[in-house]
Amino acid sequence: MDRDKSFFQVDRLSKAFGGLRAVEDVSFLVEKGSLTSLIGPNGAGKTTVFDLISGFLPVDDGRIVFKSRDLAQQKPHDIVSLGMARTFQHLGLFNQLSVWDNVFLGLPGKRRESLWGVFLPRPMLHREERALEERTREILDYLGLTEKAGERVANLSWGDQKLVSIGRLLATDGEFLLLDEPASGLSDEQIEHLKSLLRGLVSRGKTILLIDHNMEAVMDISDWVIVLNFGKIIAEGSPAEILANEEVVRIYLGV
Amino acid sequence: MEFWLFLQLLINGIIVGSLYALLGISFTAIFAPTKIFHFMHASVYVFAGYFLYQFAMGWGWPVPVSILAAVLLAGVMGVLAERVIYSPLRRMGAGSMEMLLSSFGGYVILQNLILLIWKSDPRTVKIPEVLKNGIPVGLLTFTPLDILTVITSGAALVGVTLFMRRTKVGKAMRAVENDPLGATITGIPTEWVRLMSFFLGSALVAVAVTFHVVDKGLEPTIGVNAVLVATVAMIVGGVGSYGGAALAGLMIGIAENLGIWQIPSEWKNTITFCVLVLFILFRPRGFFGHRMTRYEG
Amino acid sequence: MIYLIYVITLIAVYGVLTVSLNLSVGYTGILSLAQAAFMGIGAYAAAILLTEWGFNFFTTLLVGMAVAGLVSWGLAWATLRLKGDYYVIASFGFQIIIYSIFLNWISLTRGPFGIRHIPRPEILGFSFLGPLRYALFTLGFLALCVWIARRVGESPYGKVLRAIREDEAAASSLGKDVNRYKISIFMLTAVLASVGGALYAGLITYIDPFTFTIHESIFILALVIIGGSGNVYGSVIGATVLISLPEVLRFFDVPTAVASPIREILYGALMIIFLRLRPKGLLPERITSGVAR
Repeated sequence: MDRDKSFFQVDRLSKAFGGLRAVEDVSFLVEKGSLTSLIGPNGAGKTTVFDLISGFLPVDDGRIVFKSRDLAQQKPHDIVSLGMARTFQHLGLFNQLSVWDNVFLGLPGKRRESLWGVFLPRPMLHREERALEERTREILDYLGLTEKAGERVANLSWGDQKLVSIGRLLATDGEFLLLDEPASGLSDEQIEHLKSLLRGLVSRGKTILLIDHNMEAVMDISDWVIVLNFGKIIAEGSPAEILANEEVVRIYLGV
Repeated sequence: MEFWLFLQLLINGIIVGSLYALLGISFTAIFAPTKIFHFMHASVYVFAGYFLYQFAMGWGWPVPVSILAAVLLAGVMGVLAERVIYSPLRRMGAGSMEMLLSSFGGYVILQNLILLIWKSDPRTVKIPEVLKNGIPVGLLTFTPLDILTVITSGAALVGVTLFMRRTKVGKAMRAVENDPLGATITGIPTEWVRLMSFFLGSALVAVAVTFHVVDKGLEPTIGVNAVLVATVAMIVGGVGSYGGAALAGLMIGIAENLGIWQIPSEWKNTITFCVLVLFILFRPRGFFGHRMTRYEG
Repeated sequence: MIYLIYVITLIAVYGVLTVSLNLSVGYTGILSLAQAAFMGIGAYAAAILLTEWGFNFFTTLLVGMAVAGLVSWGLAWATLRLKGDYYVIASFGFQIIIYSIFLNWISLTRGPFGIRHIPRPEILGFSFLGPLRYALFTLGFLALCVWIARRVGESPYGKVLRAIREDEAAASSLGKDVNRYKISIFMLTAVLASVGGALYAGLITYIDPFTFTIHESIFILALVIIGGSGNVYGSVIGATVLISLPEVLRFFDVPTAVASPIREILYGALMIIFLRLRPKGLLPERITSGVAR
């Protein structure tokens, strides 16, 4: 089993809260252009792993290497500029802003977002602005949100909000996307849509790491599955291998 | 510096510090379980002083009765603050910013009610002269009132600690402090616990103002300083630690008094608050505070 | 009459203070208790430099802005990374410290005695001494301040501020350096507040430390809330309503000793009511949602 470590690798990652070892000695890698799923019972440490990888929690021990760069001390906003972006379980959308604004805010590298940019005469930033608007339109189209672009996010259905959060994620132009429970709260039809969306992204060159509880969806679309329990990896492999793993089955059936 | 002078300043510091300790304990009792920065505590403090004045001097009630009445009324005020202001906001899903702003609004209202009712002239409450007679001990002097202050403060600390450890209500308060969600799930009536916290903290602050009033008199402006000292003591001591708040309060009192020797007294406050800012920056959990750990799987 | 002009000028001054505080509180969600401190810095810079050093008004304005900018940068850098309540407590402590400095550094500020006879600006021979002229002068600054706030609000920078207000972690996850944004907007707030302070000094021509207290900070906060956090015009309207109120009461022969507390009680109550019933204040925030086609 010689998998490619060059894209993303986590080595002996550990994090404790007081006496509680949330993540213990976790090592795994994600191959470029794959869709990897992180599964496990509630409280297994999955979101903590995300928080550690994306810079929202300081690491107690271990290394995180993304495209040969050590991420351990980086701030979240710097990590984004390296090409990794994430969503949140609670979505964290900017509720009082429009769909358009939410997605637009995801776009990287805008000079005009500084305080000085407030006072620069508009023509100077015109070209940059047009390119950004074009990109936003593209993403909204891709996700089928074009009609709702002007709506305040707080007024949208959960399913649409989920799409907005993915739109925001895509806007960052990250190559490594982390999705935290993208399927939660969605109808079967929406989940099907989500599954093809995610596989579509992979076919366009993105690499995805996701957390979810929907086994059917996970097993259907993943190239690789990692199972976490009590902060430790207890199994990993292809979906078929995981489904055949007795321990995993036992954990999920609560025996 | 002369030894006796040093000792006298130290003792003065302990006496003042006992009051500060009491302030810190009173504020912790509210902030620790509810996490609300209850700025209105300043007005409860002052209002309690005016209640005392009104009962004892305005209506001629015996002083002990007046004190008791003022303390109870203060407790009620605290409870009202929670019922009328904070609780409705919480139910609306308001964040801590809205709570804080409402607390300021409440403070302003109460503060100006005092001005309307009692005007801004300084008031005093008369107590038996004997309590304020200095007792010379060697080259030191202190008054029975001073001793009473220290003893009361110590008793309050012991009382609150025992209350928190031994009684059901106290343990419930600690549970809510450490894990509000878990407390609700295990059936602890969190709203009731919050009301208790407000009652306890407000009653304690009324005790504190009593000592201030009989010793130094009463003015509408004493509230802000009190809540600031209370905040400093609570943070330096470590949020959630009553012993810590008391110790910090003592230290502040001692530092202020020993400091007069070197630093002009008008800068005392500034030093205290610089200490506060430094602690917030570098050690927000103070001396004995609990590390905030919340695990979200 | 002259009194009316005075009230209008005072409203303009508080308009500047409120609009600037709104940038931090309303747009970005940074609750600052230090507005009076920065107002005081501008006022004292103006007062000291104008009366003792004979600088001209614009130089003193720039000095005040520079000091406010520097000090606010320090405070922001040190404290804005703290979690919500701790930050507020720090700004509280800072306000007290600055007040203490105004009160106790007598050699610089003349402490409780205050500074008198603050002259009004004179530009190229044109004097703004008269009440009407000074009113227009101040209104000009208010207009400038409103313009700045609107530009900020409608800019991409302003959108990031709102994003930060809604969810800092999410903003961070999109590559925004949240601390940088908070620091910059806080500095802008402080700098504009110092301008308000300088204008105030010129209006009353006398300042003492007792104006720049925590109560003042709370008052300006109330103006922001009542006017509508996030709405520039609301801030101006809030200031208008609350500043003119005691004057109206006085018109009906209510003595100052009563009028003043009543005004305060009213704004305290309004603050609470608005937070409960109309969290968006008098005028809700205008969401410009950008190009939506």
